[in-house]
Amino acid sequence: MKPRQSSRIASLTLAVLLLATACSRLPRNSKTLFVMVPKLVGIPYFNSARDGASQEASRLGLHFFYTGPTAADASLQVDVIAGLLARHPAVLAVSCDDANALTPVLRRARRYGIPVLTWDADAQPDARDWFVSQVEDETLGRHVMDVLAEQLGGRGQYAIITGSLTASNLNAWLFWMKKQQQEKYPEMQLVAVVPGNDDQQQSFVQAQSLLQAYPNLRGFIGNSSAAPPAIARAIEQAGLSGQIAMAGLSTPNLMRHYIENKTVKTITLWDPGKLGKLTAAVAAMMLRHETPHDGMDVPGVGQIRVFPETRKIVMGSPLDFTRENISQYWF
Amino acid sequence: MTSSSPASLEKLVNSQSKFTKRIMELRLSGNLQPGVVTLLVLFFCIYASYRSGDFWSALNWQLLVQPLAEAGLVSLGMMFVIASGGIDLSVGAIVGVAAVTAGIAAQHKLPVQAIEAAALAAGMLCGAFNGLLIGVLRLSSILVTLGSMILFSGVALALSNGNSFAGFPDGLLWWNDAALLGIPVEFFLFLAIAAVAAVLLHYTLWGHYVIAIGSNRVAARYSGYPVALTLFGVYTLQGLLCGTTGILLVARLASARADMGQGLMLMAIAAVVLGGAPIVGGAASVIATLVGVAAFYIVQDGLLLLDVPPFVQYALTSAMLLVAVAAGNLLRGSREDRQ
Repeated sequence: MKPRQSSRIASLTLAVLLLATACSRLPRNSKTLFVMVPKLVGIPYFNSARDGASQEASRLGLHFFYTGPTAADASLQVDVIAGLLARHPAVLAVSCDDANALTPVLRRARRYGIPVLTWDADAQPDARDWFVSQVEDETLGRHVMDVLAEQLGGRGQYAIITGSLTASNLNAWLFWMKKQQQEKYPEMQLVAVVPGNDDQQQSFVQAQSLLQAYPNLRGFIGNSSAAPPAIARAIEQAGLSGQIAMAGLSTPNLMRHYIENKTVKTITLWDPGKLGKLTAAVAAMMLRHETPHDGMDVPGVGQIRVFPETRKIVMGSPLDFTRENISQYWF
Repeated sequence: MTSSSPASLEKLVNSQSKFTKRIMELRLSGNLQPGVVTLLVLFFCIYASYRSGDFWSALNWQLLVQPLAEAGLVSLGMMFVIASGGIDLSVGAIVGVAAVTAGIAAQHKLPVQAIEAAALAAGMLCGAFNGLLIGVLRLSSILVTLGSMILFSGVALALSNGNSFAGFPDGLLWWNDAALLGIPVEFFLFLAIAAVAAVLLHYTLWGHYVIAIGSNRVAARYSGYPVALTLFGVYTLQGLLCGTTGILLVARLASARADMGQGLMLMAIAAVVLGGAPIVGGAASVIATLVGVAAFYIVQDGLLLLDVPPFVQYALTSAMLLVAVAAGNLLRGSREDRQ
């Protein structure tokens, strides 16, 4: 088929558009625009963070804008951020889907003079000004072990179901869990660490086979948000509710059923709403050219820890969800 | 069209002014859809620049043309595939294979040219595999590529073990950083390849065969056209273009992952269709494909600048696709009118 007249008109207009682009003016600087990008939009965890950040941002007089990809896909997230750079936000905060893939576009943002924060999940250190982290790996790992040990009275066999064996954040938490047990609970015995690959069905099968393989097993740790509900289901189906203890990291929505029916006593995570608040507060500090300092008190968040050499801000302690407080959280 | 008989249609045409006659000719002759899409996008651009001062900023367009170029390359390949009467569902997976291959090559500290060659070769190999099954063994393209989509993403996942590669040499990242007159080189590469594609389509025997096969495969075979070889070439070219996209994506993200090309398959098919190419094959236009892919990215980017929430962006973009396809078809008139 030969190119038609209409196609020629189309190409001409396209060429004019591109020409017009080349001689257009530079981006305008919006002085209070705070843009927050989650790994993906439309899931309760990030909605919760958005609500916290939006509240705090309007209190501090920032113009808040929240957007992101509709699927957890690093290249989609990069496209969204590239589109946002044209607005020249006053501060950009990103929860990175992939530390490596997000690094070039964040570096570019910094080159354009946009202050960059990472929150929830970090990029390479040179691609951002500050990393706003929820909880330190050490605190979180040790805390989860304490929760399990308390239920077990400090003795007995336990197993860990993690996400994937290569996830760096999960492995860091795992390291501190084991260390805490070795240091403080010598009478407890770790029998196995198995991957559930962030999949509820796989985690469920792993939990079932662990229950069969180790008849003296007294406790579980679920070290990725898909593992605890799967373990709880396995315990419930085996009729062992109340006899097998469990601790781990998951969201209240995934665990609500098992906590309300007493299969599980406590599940641990952090409050994403608070994390959002803190991110907005740090963004406001950057606009005022202030540096956060260790031990400072952030309204609605509490005392934060600041590590100037790694440019890292830590929100604080983990949050335990129990029958008493789980109804207050929705994510 | 209404149920007018040929005679009354002729009378109608004669009674029209010169301008409407011209429109009539266009309607009877072919494809108005790129024009419709361009008009829609132009209206959108006027609106977007009225609402957002950032829309016409140089920075916006510099950042916009990079993902556009990547999707554009896959769309050009898809244009040939669709023109030949087929479909390729495996393009995203091939991009993943090429990216992961580049990652492995970079891990072995190979020079930049070797990394690029490895990624291109991997893409071509995947395409040739499709071409062999579809062209030579005469299997259905939708079934073959559905299977190879899963196969290729499995291969990419297995090769990378699900991890992301980093640490690419600066020579490869050059594709992301380099710009000429403020326009990213990626975009120039895309335009150059588009020009080559236009030459292939309009001025080579192969291009003629592709269209002929798409119009009527059986007739093409009985006319003695090399159907198997032509189709093998179509899918191999698609693989090569996916390999190129893989390299550009790796450069832009400074990393490689198996799931990198995820969204590209639907985008490429939509871009070709938005340009007005019939999904059953037998016709193609490079410019219409460019218009299709550019429309998608311009509108999506504009909506982002206009503070439109992400889910609504998708709804509006797809609404544009439907409006354009409907308008293009209505204006074109029915098949009988054209004959």
